[in-house]
Amino acid sequence: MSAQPASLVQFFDFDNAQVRKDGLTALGGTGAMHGVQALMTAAPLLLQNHAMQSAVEALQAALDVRIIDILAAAWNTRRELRQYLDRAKYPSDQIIDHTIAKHEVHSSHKPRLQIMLDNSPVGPEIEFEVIVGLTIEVAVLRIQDARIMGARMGKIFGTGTIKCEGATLFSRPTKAVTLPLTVSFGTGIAIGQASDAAIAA
Amino acid sequence: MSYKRPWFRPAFGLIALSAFCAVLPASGNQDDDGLSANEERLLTDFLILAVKPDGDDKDYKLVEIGKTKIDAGLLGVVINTLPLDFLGLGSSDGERTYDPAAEAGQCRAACAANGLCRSFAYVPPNARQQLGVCHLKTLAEASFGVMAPVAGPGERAPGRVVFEAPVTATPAQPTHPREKIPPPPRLPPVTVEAFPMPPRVVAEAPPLNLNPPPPIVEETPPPPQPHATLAAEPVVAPAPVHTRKPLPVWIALGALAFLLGGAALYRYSHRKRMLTRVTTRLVSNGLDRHTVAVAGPDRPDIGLRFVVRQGAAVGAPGTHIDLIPAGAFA
Repeated sequence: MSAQPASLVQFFDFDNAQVRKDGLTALGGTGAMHGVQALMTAAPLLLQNHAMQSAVEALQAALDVRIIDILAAAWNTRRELRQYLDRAKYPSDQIIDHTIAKHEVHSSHKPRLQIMLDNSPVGPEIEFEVIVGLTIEVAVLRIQDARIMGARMGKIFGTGTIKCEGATLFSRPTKAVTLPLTVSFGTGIAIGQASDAAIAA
Repeated sequence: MSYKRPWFRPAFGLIALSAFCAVLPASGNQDDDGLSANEERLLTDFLILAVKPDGDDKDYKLVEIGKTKIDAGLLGVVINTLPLDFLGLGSSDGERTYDPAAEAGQCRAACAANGLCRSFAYVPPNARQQLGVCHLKTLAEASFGVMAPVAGPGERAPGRVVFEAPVTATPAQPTHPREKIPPPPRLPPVTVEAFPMPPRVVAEAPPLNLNPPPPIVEETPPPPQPHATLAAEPVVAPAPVHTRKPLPVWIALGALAFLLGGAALYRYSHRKRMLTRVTTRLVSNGLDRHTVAVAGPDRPDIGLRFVVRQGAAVGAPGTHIDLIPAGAFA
């Protein structure tokens, strides 16, 4: 129960050099990077090449999102969990295990980057689109006092892509996602609210 | 200024005339075999022209010859270069006869006739100088006259005969206005400063062999002697050769590695500083517009919801109840 909670960096295998190289190559072919390189013509070639590397590193920072947080946010959107807000029917000392059968979670967010040269912006902002799809076999949510206190999960499979101006930079095929079997959310995630305190047990 | 007095010129001319008359008999002009008056005048003119090429404008150490004065040193040089026959002093047998006493007397008479003369010195002829010379010494000891040999018995005086003539009582005569030449400035004595020299480096090399090297003689090796016993020849150690020790390899490699490491460190530092010029700012991580959707059965699986409030009253001892949700792992 001490496994490191995975983030989208591991999800997209950013630590793989070949994957990063392919992503850089694809990023260099985008119109946004062509515009940036055109503005950096006077700069040394070393800086021109470093611009894309710097953009990928910034993108990696934007992917520092834990998968369990994405799952918690997705589960919290389910309407059947709203019934547990009735304290008369579900007293605060009552522990409820709510089982969710096989379901899919779709997540999408769009980080934006700005390349700077000598603290001056070069070209417009570059927007990426991160799309993640997770398939969860089963999840058992432990609910108490109208809060999601933890979860036990079955097998999870995931796929995802990172796009820029319609071009796919990174793509992850559907494969298993390594997550802890039991996850504790600490003081719990209030049902109907965004979770920001998910802690892996 | 005494020379401006009206009686100066006649007196000076009288003195000069008396001196000339005193010298004139010593030249042997009265002899039949001597010079005639005309020849004597010509000789005097020749001597004057020979030793006074610049005329009277130049300041000479003067000696009176006739009515003029000529440089004494130059006169001696000219006279010594002339052959004796030129002056009519030669003889047929090459050996001249003279009378030292007569010549000394003439020299004394010349000094007495000269008001400036205080003493005189007579130098008899010798092997180097075949004419007697009469030096008329004034206070400055600067003039002399040449002597004509006076024939007479006697031997050659080996050296100089100096006569100190007593000064006769002569009427007070005005002194000859001579230009006083200031003595040459006296230079300070030469001083030598001594200072210690740095110690010399003791030479370590062997002294140079100034002797020429022996000629190389090619020696033919002696024929081998089959029955000769091998004599134990002394092994002479070779002379130590002072050669520069080569740089150890490990020091060279270390220096090379140090240089390369320094260059690499500089390149790394330069590259790092260069790359810091380009940065990428994360404007937004996009989580503010994060969209999450769940697709799946929206109704709860009632069959899996069991709430155990009390123990089940199951009588059969081998019966147990397992609550396993559908699709969940064991």
